[in-house]
Amino acid sequence: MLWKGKIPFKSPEVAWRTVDGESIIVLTKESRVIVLNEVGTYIWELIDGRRSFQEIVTAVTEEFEVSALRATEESAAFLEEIAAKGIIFLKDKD
Amino acid sequence: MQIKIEIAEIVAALTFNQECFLEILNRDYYPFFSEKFPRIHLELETTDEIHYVQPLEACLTFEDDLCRIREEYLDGFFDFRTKKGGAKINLQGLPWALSAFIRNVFTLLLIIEDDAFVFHASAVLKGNKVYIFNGRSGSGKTTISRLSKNCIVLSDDHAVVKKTDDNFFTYATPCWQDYSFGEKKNTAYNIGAIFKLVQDKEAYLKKINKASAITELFTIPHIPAEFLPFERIMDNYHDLLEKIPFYELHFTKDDSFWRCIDAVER
Repeated sequence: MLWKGKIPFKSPEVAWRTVDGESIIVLTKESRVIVLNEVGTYIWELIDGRRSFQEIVTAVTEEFEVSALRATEESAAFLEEIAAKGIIFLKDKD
Repeated sequence: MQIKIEIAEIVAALTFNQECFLEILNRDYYPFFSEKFPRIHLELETTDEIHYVQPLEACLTFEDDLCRIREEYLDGFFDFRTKKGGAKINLQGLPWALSAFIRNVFTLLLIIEDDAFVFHASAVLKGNKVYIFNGRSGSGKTTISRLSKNCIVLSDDHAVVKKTDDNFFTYATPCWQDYSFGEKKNTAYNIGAIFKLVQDKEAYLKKINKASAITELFTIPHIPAEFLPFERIMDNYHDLLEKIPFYELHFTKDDSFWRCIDAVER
């Protein structure tokens, strides 16, 4: 899997705020705005450039009481979607 | 010659030698003439040299504190440090190029220095409140304005909103090549509500959550994204939405939408 052993980090070219449980992300170069749902917001707030993909999945499993398989699939799908938009990037674990 | 104009509490002294500027200012900016001490100084001159072909790569470019403003028939600048600017304008571009210069300088100052908002919106005064209809091109701003017969349309393209003493007010702007109707006063108006326009088969209002409303408010005109203080803008939008209701306005091409707005106001 693409995400295994990787650490996601936020693009320096985004600005964001979380309002009433939903994160609003602005891609500053394009002035494009994206609103994340509850799960997306939870994952977004975990992305700090230190937590690995696996650590994020573990947190999602516990927070939303879902199976590890489902948390892995849905977290990967979400991260792939926002990575494709240039909102996050990946780096290898040190 | 010098004329001072005030828009949204920013006073600019415009200095020029040519009669053509005086004629346009007298005609289009008269309600905005001011006797107050100017915050900025702008020098205007005519030239027969400038004729850019649209679209330019970027009409606003920044280098440190200096912003260059270029549009068809216009080459201008504004220095944020000295608060001085100037424009060379080809006579063929008048009055549009003069409006473009003044509009850009004021928009920059309002957003970057004053934490104000300049929305792509129509602003309609009904009773003692202004209703702001937000939307991108083609969303129905002009339709709404033209259907607001018994109101004063401050603008159908720009709405300036500024925070003063913990309250938000909107201001009239000069006619910047948009549609307006009725007598504008250069004053701070109370805001009734802000709406996102949705063309539909029936008229009704729908409350939307703050995050979606903030997304809808990102219709900042003219300024390149890399120069906008986005996080501050989002904080200010949040403050605005704490004070001013925001609705999705579903409307048809008649004035029935006003009945929905009046019902909520009651």
